[in-house]
Amino acid sequence: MDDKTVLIVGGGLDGVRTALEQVETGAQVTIVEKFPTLGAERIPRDRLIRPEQAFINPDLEKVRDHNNIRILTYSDIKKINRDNGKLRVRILKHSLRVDNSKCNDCKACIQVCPVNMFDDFDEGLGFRTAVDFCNLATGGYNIYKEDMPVCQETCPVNLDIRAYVGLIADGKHLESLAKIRERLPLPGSIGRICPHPCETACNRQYLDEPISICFLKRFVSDVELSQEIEPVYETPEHKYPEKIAIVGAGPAGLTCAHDLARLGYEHIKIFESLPVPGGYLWVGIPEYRLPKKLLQREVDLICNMGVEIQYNTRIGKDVAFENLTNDYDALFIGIGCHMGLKLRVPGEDDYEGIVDCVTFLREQALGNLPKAKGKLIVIGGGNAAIDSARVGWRMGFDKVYILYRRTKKEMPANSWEIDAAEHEGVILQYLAAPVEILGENGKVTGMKCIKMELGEPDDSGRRRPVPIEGSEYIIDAETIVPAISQGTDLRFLDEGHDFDLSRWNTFLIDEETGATNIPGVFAGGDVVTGPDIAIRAIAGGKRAAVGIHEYLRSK
Amino acid sequence: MPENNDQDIRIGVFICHCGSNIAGYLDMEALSDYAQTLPNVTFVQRNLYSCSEGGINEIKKGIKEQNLNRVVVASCTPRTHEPLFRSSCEEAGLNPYLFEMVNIRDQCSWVHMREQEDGTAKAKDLIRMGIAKAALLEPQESIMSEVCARALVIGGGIAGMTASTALARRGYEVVLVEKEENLGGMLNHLNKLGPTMTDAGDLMEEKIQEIVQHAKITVFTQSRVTAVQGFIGKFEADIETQSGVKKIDIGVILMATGGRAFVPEGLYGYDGQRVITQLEMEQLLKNGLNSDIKNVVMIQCVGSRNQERPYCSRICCQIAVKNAILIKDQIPDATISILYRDMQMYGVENEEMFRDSKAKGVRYIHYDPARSPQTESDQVRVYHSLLGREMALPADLVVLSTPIVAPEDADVTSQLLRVPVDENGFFLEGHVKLKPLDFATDGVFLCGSARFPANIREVIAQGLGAASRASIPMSKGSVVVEPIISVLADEDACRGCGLCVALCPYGALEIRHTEKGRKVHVIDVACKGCGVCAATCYQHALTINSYTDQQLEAQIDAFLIED
Amino acid sequence: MCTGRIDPAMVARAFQKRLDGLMVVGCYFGDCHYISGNVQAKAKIDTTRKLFKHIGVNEERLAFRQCSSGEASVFVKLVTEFDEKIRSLGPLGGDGDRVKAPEIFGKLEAAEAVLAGEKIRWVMGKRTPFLETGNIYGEIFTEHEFNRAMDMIIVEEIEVQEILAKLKEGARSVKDLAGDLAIPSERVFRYITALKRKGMVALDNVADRSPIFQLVPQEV
Ligand SMILES: Cc1cc2nc3c(=O)[nH]c(=O)nc-3n(C[C@H](O)[C@H](O)[C@H](O)COP(=O)(O)OP(=O)(O)OC[C@H]3O[C@@H](n4cnc5c(N)ncnc54)[C@H](O)[C@@H]3O)c2cc1C
Ligand SMILES: Cc1cc2nc3c(=O)[nH]c(=O)nc-3n(C[C@H](O)[C@H](O)[C@H](O)COP(=O)(O)OP(=O)(O)OC[C@H]3O[C@@H](n4cnc5c(N)ncnc54)[C@H](O)[C@@H]3O)c2cc1C
Ligand code: SF4
Ligand code: SF4
Repeated sequence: MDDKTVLIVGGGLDGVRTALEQVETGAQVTIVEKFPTLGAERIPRDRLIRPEQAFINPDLEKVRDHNNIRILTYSDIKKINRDNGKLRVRILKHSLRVDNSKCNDCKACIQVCPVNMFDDFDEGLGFRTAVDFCNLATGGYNIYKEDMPVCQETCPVNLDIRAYVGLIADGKHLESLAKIRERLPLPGSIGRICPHPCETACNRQYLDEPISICFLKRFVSDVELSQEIEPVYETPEHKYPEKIAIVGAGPAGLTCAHDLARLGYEHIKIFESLPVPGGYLWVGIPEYRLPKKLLQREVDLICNMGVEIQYNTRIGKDVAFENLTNDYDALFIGIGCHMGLKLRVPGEDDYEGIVDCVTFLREQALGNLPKAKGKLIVIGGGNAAIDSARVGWRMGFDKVYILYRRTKKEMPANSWEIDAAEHEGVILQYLAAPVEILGENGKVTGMKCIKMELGEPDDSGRRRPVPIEGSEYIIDAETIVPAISQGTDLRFLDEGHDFDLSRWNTFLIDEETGATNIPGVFAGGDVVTGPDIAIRAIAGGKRAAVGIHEYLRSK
Repeated sequence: MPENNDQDIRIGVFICHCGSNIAGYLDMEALSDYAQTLPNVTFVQRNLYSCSEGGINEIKKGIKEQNLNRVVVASCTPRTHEPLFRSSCEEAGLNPYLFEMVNIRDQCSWVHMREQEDGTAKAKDLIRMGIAKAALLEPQESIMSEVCARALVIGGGIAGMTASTALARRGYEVVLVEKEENLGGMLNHLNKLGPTMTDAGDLMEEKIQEIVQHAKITVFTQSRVTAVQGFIGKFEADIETQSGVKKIDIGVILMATGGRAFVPEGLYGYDGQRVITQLEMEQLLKNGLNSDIKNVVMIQCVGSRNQERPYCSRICCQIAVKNAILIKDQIPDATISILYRDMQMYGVENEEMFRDSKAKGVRYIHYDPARSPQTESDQVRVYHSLLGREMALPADLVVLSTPIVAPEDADVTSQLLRVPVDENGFFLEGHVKLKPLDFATDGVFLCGSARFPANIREVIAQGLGAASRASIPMSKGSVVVEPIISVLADEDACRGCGLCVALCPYGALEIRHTEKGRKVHVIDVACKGCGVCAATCYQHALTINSYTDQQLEAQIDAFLIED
Repeated sequence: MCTGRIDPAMVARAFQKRLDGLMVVGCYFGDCHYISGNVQAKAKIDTTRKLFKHIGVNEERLAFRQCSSGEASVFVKLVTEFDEKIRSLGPLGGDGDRVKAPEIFGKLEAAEAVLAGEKIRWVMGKRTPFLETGNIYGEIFTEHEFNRAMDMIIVEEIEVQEILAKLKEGARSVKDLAGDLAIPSERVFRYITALKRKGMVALDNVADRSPIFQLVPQEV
């Protein structure tokens, strides 16, 4: 048993003793301990001032000095994988944040430290200051630093929310905006449309209501607008020569381009199939929620960094995908999910007047739809459904229905959006599903629906809707818009491509770098996650930018 | 040192009448009687004028005859008189820092003219406080530091060039740093200079030649000063030049970074073609005017004297008048109208130029900023505030007189040298009247448009003035600094944490590695004795000479004694 | 010497010695003869005012005002107003203050110890760097956050000083201290554990299952 390696999780007295036993058998031993010191042997608090009197377990010194024992204190186990009958363990070692080789143990830091906190070492019974002292034999001084506040942790791009909200409270609006822009190049747009998971996490909600983290972004960017300040996104002086292609000018692609430009890449080109930038921010989210002018301004700021966008260029049609892999040093795919899914009911493909929501919203946004007449049915319960209905209402349909299988409570759309739609006059029919599309002379005339009731919860935890037999009814309509999720459109890839894809036809990527299995090709946004929200697409773009930088610099 | 012998503190108190300034309102006899009763006081004397020769002699005599080892003068303001009394003590053989001054005039007898009793009581308090502090004073030695005889001039406009040559002619080495490719600054873009109509290019060439040929002047163009460390006499500057960063030791620094002409984007239809600035006018005049131009309208105060830029740039009126004359010289039958708010034509020559222009037929029309002129495609409409009606003036060319504004990077330079700028971004001198060319920071001087818009004549005068100010420390070879500065009184207590270092406004503190570990070190010549560090240190390791905790507490205690 | 030289501990000491009012008059910001000394002065006086308020001294007794040497009339106005204010408040520890004499002088003694002490001076001194250049991780603090931390420290520090002052009179249990000082017992417990670690208090004995704590004399 000469190549036996043993990992001991927990460096308490038992862990230490086991380590000594195991090492006797000839094993290589690693001890992982989450606290900065071994042996539960932190010097008793009240002896802190005179550590030399502290009781030190002799085992500790043996462990410390043993050649075949590696000690990882202040470390967390992150992941354990099985790999060919062995275990691979991912361990995160925290920094002590104190250079103990220079510390002369004067304790001045403990005297002045203003942060008093519960000490998790004794399960919160006692208190410590943020800087604290452990057994010098295996630990020493360390500073506990809170990682991130909940809001920042929840935000997919980890915006420094506490700082920018605080700066607003101090009246420093532009500084706040600058702080946001350190991590987010589209604050005005995101500040309008983000469903703000951060606010759902905000601790303030337990007192009254969450901080308006999202709208505060909009607020500061509006302050800048109202003061007519034209900001400049800086790029560094030193430049890198590599060429990078980005497919899709959605939030993922734009952010990836921005982050790369800020790192010093000069040759960044975005290929976009549409004549407009922003992806769904332009052709999905309606004007009344996000004015195009505003989006354009933020895109321009990114373009001014030297990023080029080539519009009306569909990869796979106007330019072959191989051209990109050949001509560019790195490639980012951020093409989103632009294929509306089908209802799969009879009559769907037989009549004119049935348009999926992706096409419906896109054509409307591009100004290609005439003024509307008649009745409109939108099917689905997400934000895309609400947007389609509200857009339809504005286009002039006489009556607009939304059909949803479950109840209002289960609707995934934001509650304020549902309320707004209802308020405007959209008719919401809950617990109803399409059965058949009806038509005459090749045109849609209406839809047969069925009433539903809620049964047992399904995998997603929501109660599964089941049809009530014999409850069919008909709604007259000239236009029907299914808004029941979208899928990726990967037709630009060759038949025999080598990309690893998921069963939803999305790219499988490395979680740290955004890299696909093909070297030099990265992906992010909805094309990885499936239909999601803009800020997560942005996070995907950011991650890939770092990944691309590391990839190019290590080449 | 007998004078520092605690057992035997002998304080002499000299109470000044200041003619009737003090004696007219306070009960002087009560004051001197009271002073007699205070601890450590061995001698009290009243004088008509302590600062007169007689008064000074009395102090000296007192020190010698009464064997005084502390002197308190209760009189007027230390701002003007402390140096005098200090040196008197020194002449009498007493360390000048064993002197304490009490002001019983400015905020006492003058304020309480009608309340003799209260005023006298207050004076007693003040004197008691001064005496309490005096007992704890300690002798100090003045601090000398060498001055490197090399000057750094930042900005190669006419101000910087003038100062450089003036310094070089006196034999000092000069390093001139200019961020652009050419020396000359604004002069590069000008035609003729009013009121003398000297050719700007000629003036500039003459200066540049002298500079280039002078062995003592080193010029770095397309360069910038990126870091400055140190203090008067011993600065070290990093200069980023075309051939890399150079580190240079210097003794003094002159700021001559000038200004730039404001570009009136979006104002009065400015387009650089038909509606132009005076700066662009200069270029047109240089090239020779197109003779089609028959009607010219100039508008004054464009972008200045408004909310955003409330100041008057002073020289734009002169420029407009000058250029109006020069246009007339080239196209005698041109019609020129100058729309103004106030004509700023100070100085005899400028007045003459103004009259001259009127004689040549230039028209002046007053407008009201509330009804400012409108530029249209071929005319300018203006409400003539004297005639009380609107007029339409045909215009082939509209010239906007825009102010000089601070350089874009003024705030960077200001942080670099730790010198202040005003709300408009112009550099702020140490004192408007007393130190117009010095900064509050010793060893840094200021001239030219960097300080405020000025014409060439003023700029040259300032350049010469600043050079002269800057050569004082260099010619002395050393500077003497008042020893009322911070001292590390308790070295063992200092933990070398650097808390104080971050707060010192003068960069006078640094952490050094000593045998006892990291300790703070006070750079004597840089410290101004503000005391921020002493009030900050949580170990009470630092103190300020002549303002120690003990001295200040003694003073406070003396005030709060219940009588 | 600049207003920045004013040591807050000295201010508390003066009030303890029966000062009724103190106005610090500095230059305008940006105009300071010592560049930024007035900024430090203001921060220190602000903190002292907060502390005063907390211990029951009317914080109007301490003021930071600004005027330039050319503004005689402003100065006169400031002095007159302040004089009137202090006269209306009456002597320290009278009707003008929440806590009355002689108790107020004990509070001021604790305040002096706090202001001369390490923690509050350290945090006051870090104010400018934290707000302007950020901490070692480059995180800039907002004024908001800073003040919140400062408010907390003021309460803690003054309560700790009061506990130490009480223990000087003799050993006591957490419960006794909480009763004597009207501080919630869990907070007293927290301070005692912290003081125990710093070696400033120690267990004396256990009486009736209650631990009694005593002061550990400190070498100076
Ligand atoms: C109706 C609707 C409303 C929404 N509302 C919100 C909301 O309120 N808040 C929120 O946070 N999120 C919302 N979302 C989701 C959000 O818009 C998306 O998550 C986000 O835009 C995804 O970003 P992306 O960059 O991955 O892709 P996209 O934004 O989809 O951008 C992809 C881009 O790639 C281009 N492209 C595709 N294929 C090719 C090709 N072969 N060659 C070249 N270019 C190509 C597309 O034209 C598109 O411009 C909404 C989505 C929809 C549909
Ligand atoms: C349109 C116009 C017409 C004028 N006509 C007249 C006239 O007829 N008569 C008259 O008397 N005056 C006239 N003036 C005024 C005159 O031009 C100025 O008074 C004079 O040029 C100011 O000189 P200066 O050296 O202070 O500044 P500048 O000439 O502005 O020179 C400053 C120099 O410093 C350099 N610099 C700035 N920052 C830095 C830095 N950080 N590092 C290194 N170098 C730096 C700049 O590049 C520049 O070369 C006119 C001005 C204008 C705008
Ligand atoms: S003097 Fe005081 S504040 Fe300065 S380094 Fe030493 S201990 Fe720190
Ligand atoms: S007294 Fe003022 S200038 Fe001198 S070292 Fe201290 S903080 Fe700096």
